[in-house]
Amino acid sequence: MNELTLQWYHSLIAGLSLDAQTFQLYQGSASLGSQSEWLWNVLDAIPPESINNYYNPIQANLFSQNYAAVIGQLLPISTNDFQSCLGDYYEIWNTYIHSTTLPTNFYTDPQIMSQFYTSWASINAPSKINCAQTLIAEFFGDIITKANVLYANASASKQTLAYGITMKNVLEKIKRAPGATITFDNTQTSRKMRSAWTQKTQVKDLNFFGAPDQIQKSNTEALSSLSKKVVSNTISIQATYDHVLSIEGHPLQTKSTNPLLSSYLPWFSSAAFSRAFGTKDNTVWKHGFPSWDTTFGLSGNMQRDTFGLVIVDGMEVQMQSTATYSQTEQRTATSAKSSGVWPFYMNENTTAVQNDVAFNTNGNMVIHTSSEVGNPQLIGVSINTLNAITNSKTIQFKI
Amino acid sequence: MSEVQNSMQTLTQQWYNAVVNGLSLSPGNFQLYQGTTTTGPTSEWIWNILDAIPPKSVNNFFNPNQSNNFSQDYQSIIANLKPASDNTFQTCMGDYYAQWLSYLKSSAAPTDIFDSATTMSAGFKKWAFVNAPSQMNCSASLIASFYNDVVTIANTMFANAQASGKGYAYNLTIAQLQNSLQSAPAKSFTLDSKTASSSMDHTWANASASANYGFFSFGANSSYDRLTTEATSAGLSIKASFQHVTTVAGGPLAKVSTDPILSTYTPWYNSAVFSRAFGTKDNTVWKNGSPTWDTTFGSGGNMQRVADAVVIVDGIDVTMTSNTSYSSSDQQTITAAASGGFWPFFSASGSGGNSTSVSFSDSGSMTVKITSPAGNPQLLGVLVTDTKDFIG
Repeated sequence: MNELTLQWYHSLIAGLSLDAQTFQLYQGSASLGSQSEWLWNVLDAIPPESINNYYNPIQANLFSQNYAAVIGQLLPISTNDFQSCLGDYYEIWNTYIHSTTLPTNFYTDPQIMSQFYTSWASINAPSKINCAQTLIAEFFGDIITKANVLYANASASKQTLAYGITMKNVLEKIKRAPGATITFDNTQTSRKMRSAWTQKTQVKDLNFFGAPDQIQKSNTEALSSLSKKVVSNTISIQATYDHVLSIEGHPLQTKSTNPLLSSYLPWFSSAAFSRAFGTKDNTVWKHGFPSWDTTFGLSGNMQRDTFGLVIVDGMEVQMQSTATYSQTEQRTATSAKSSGVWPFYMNENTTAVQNDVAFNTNGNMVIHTSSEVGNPQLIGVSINTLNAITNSKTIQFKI
Repeated sequence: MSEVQNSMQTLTQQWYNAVVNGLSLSPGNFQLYQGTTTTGPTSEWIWNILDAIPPKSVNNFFNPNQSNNFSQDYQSIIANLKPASDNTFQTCMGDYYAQWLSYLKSSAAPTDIFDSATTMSAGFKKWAFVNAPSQMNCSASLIASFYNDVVTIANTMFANAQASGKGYAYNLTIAQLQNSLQSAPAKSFTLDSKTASSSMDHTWANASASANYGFFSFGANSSYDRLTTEATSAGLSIKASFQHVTTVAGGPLAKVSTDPILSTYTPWYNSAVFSRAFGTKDNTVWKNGSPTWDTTFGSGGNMQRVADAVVIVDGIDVTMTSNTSYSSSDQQTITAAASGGFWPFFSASGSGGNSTSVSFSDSGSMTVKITSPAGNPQLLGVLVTDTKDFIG
């Protein structure tokens, strides 16, 4: 089944124009929830290292919480650039600001601070006028302080930490998203696993008919042997999706004008986070924990993050197995269909999903799975591998 | 092990295998629950299940008052962690530290300086701009240690949840579970104790089932021992069908939610601090004293694994037939015991819509029927995950 899942993974990549460096397949029925929070929870969960994930993550390892530990562990940026820039004039400037009344909004408006400085410098230190830039950068551009203030305020707001997409965005976009057709044949699909972002698959072996794999030793297990029969013979699939949407969702960084998102405070600073990610040593990180290694290292808690969702709506799948099935096997297959069939595992329910199993006169099996438009399903997520430092040239940082 | 325990163990292991096979579960993580566990009407019922740390066993006689709970263990851990922040702010300030402190204590300090991260940061920067320009960016350490120390955040979260007096919620509600049940498929299976496999080699616990209860009543009673042995040695055939079977995942509440129920609960779990505790054994992270990493996550620790999903069935119909022939006095004993419930459910007859009936054929062979109409969901088991995988 693992081999088959790998093949299907690559067929999806090819058919839906996805990226094998980022895609993680979701298996099991994951109908979209009704609220944006559902999307944010999926995006906030740190995904396991696997090309597939059977259940919706339980969300016990959260990006937003681990992030707080990281920014709290970063050293202040101490540049003293302004002081160096002014050189001998620094003392004169210091004496001046102690002796004068600073204009209103001096500390809150970069424009006013800059003007105040340049008007002093034009008379007292004309060669140092351009130090205004470092002054402003030091005072207003201190990303570690900003990141900590942002997070503290968002946490104090008593609201959840939002991501930049809403359910409304998704439902609007999926209506206009193009369709796609995938053809799959397990005898012809090439096994280019080397190109995927990981070689690992989820530990749970999957059964063909709606199930994690069963007890191998048991000779009474009709379903398990049936699954083996299906997967060891030729399977061909034609799957048509009416709409396929890949949509990115990032931690909220700035105040949004979106009607829903505007009520949430931004909490994330990519500047601070990439500073943490970019440098391992104690020039950036304080001593103690978390460290770069306990965060992004091989046993770290932020080795990956989810930055996008792949959602489909409206589905028509025709699957054929060329094996010949006995009457008993046909009954077993038919009775198992309601719990869903690989690779979708969508439970049949009266409104959204229909699974049909039929057999032709030769005893070949034809499975038909369909889901009407208006029942969007999450079929995968886009994952960024943060610990992919094996080749320093390929570090790509995308949150 | 007594003969009764032996035979109950074999039967329980056969039942485990049959459940796993028949309900499409995985022997890699399924733990069977036995006992009187009708789904409660409130979400709190599920949370108690998820909060119980599962023993390393393929089956568990669930006791809602069990003493090893995730939330309580978690609380002890976070209380025994050193604060995440060091004295970086003081170090960063160097000689200016004392000046800042005296400013903070003086009347010149803004009155709103402790109101929020924004006012604290602004207040500090204004002061530093004039008085310690080279230390201006020490504000980062000030805010980080004052507001974003995860150990403090985690302890505050937990204290707030405790103060709310509403208990420790998980992110799965009874409404979500019922929703999932409605569209969940029907499943059924049969079991013949003469032929079914009782091997446990393939299971995650790789250990035998525990069998502390007999066949005939929930409370082990020695007077039933002989009857139990007879029932199991003569061979039992079981036919079980469920109208709905579903597996629903749930984790500790980490964030405020807009869900109508969850929004009234205070989040109490922080993954950053939990993985901090799990990731480092020594006293750079842990305070001296207990709990320690070893007493928590070590081989004798109390948090080696976590229940992260519940398996719920609804609309139960189980028929068991025993081929042995019971004397009329045995029949009376068994009928009297029926109200106390039967293995493997032990649900008392009549509670939550369940019914258990026992009948005997002319030859004395026994048929037990256990039914529970749809609308009375029952906990069948949980999925167990290693703590390492729970947070990794």
